[in-house]
Amino acid sequence: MLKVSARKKLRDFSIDVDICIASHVAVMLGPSGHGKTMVLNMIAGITRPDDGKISVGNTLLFDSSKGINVGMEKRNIGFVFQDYALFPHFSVFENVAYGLKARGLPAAEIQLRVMRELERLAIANLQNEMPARLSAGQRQRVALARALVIDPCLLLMDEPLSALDMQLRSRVRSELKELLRQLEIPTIIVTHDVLDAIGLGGTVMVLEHGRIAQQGSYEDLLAAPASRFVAEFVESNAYTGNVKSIDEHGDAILTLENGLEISAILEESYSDTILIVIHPWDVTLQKTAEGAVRNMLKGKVLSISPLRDRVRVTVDSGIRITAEITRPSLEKLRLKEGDEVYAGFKTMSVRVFPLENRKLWRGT
Amino acid sequence: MSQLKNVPAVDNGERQPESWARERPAIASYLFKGGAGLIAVVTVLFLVIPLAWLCLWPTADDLIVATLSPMLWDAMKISFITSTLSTFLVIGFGGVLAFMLARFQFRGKMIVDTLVDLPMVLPPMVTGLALLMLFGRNGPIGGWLSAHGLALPFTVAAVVLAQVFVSLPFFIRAARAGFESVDRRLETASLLLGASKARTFIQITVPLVWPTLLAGAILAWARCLGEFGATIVFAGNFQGVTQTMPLAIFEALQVNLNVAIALSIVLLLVSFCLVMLLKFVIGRAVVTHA
Repeated sequence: MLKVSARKKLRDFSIDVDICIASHVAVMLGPSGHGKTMVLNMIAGITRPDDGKISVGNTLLFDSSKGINVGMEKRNIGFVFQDYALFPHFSVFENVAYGLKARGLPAAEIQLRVMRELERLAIANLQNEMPARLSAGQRQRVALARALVIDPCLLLMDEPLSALDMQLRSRVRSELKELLRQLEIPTIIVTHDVLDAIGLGGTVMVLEHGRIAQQGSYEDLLAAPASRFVAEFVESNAYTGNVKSIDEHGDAILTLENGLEISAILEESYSDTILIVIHPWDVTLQKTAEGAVRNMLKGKVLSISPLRDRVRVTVDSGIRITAEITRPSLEKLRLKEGDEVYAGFKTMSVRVFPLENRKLWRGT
Repeated sequence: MSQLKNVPAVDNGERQPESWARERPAIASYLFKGGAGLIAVVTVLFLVIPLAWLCLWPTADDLIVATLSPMLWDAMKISFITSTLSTFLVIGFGGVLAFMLARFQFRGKMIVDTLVDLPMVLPPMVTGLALLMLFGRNGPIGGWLSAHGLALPFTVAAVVLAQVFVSLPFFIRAARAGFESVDRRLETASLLLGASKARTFIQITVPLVWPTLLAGAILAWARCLGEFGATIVFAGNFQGVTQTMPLAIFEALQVNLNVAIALSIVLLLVSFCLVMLLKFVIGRAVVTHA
């Protein structure tokens, strides 16, 4: 159980986070420059928080009120750096053995534990290689082995997948997910890529300007994003707008920020600015304007990107709207970038949230 | 999958340059390369010819006579012992200062930085004079030492002090650059793995800067071997006591030109070997860091 409550003033904003993680994986998601790495550094003891309290299980690592600040060499934390920071002058075996040697363990035990770890990560055959001769994927495994061999009470990973190319990435991601599932120690993975958050599972914490804007499963975040920032970051379609008119059945016309009007069914009316969310899988694409759906936006295909077994197509129709469709339907449409297309969605698919009071919502 | 990839259109509109446009840069390029090559050759010859001429000057007999002279052997022995000792002192003291300059911010760092480089631009005679005034019998420290029966000037200790003074900046500059170039995250990684600060320094920092430290040490050693001005003022020129190779050459020059030349050739060879060693060490450093 990791408990973090930490504040630190930075030049442009301040970090103020409360995190509580049992023995599972939490993905800290956010764009670069929003303090993700700083939060990780504070937990690891690399950076000292201005005030707060950090504990793992019953061990207090930092407590500003009691003046406790355990040095990073005594925290027993597994840390995987963004580009792995392998010791260039040590072989793979020596890199992994380093933490055990520092603990003064007997050579026989070191040999045993290092080999067990290398075998678990399927890199035992690389034990005598130097880091410079390894591929990015192999380096990542060595870094992971080096962090895990010390039996850490906590695993922190800073953008562990960003050094890998796209193809390798999804494979390593699912391997990492499987490995972490077996570990059962609190783990925080920092990433700016929503695909990592989806692929690694677990809790997602969205960090916005040093604060956790929302916390929950990826599905939770999609279903009810706490702010436009969260909605856009989890790659849902999010817009701000106003209710233009609403009748007694709840049939409403909404005006989006750029003046575009869409139909929706609301349970109540809102007088202030609202957050409008349309999930990508509720959006259909077609080549003609025919069909039963009330909302039909004509636009041009901006980008097509695969997402797991499906495909996301972003359309520019005055506003940007992303549709998540199956591969067969994409093949049937024969879409490519620049093509004209109609994006349709039902009135029932338009989700509306009041903007201002949700923005302050914070995860527990 | 094939539809997902946006295949960029192949650009076949690669324009062929007009004939005049193709040839003119070629001529200019030949002229430029030719000119640069000529200047390079002249520069190398300027450095090599005087030394080569020096080596060709003495007859074999002259060299044998010079090689057998006790003056040469005394000077070589003293040069070797003092410069080696000085180099170790420079590594010890200069290493700590270099580390501090590389890693810590403190008030007056700029000034310290400038002061450290000063011996490089100062005429060595001035260095010798300054040391003499401080450590000499009438100087504040020398006076105190002589009251306790110790004297520094005109001893082998003075030779070492003079050499340390002039060669310190060479080592500090190299070592500082080395400590600055170490990836700090590697040290952080070591600490996070549970290694103490001392262990991290010995196992991670030093091995990573080792080639740079060695290169700096060789430079400092070479500077010690060639040191003349500060030594002759502060330590004097006594054969078998303070007479290093450069000083022996200076003395021989006033008595026997052939011995002076023979001594010079020996110093030249040692220096050449040192510089070669330096290149080798730096070359290895580049390879291991790549």
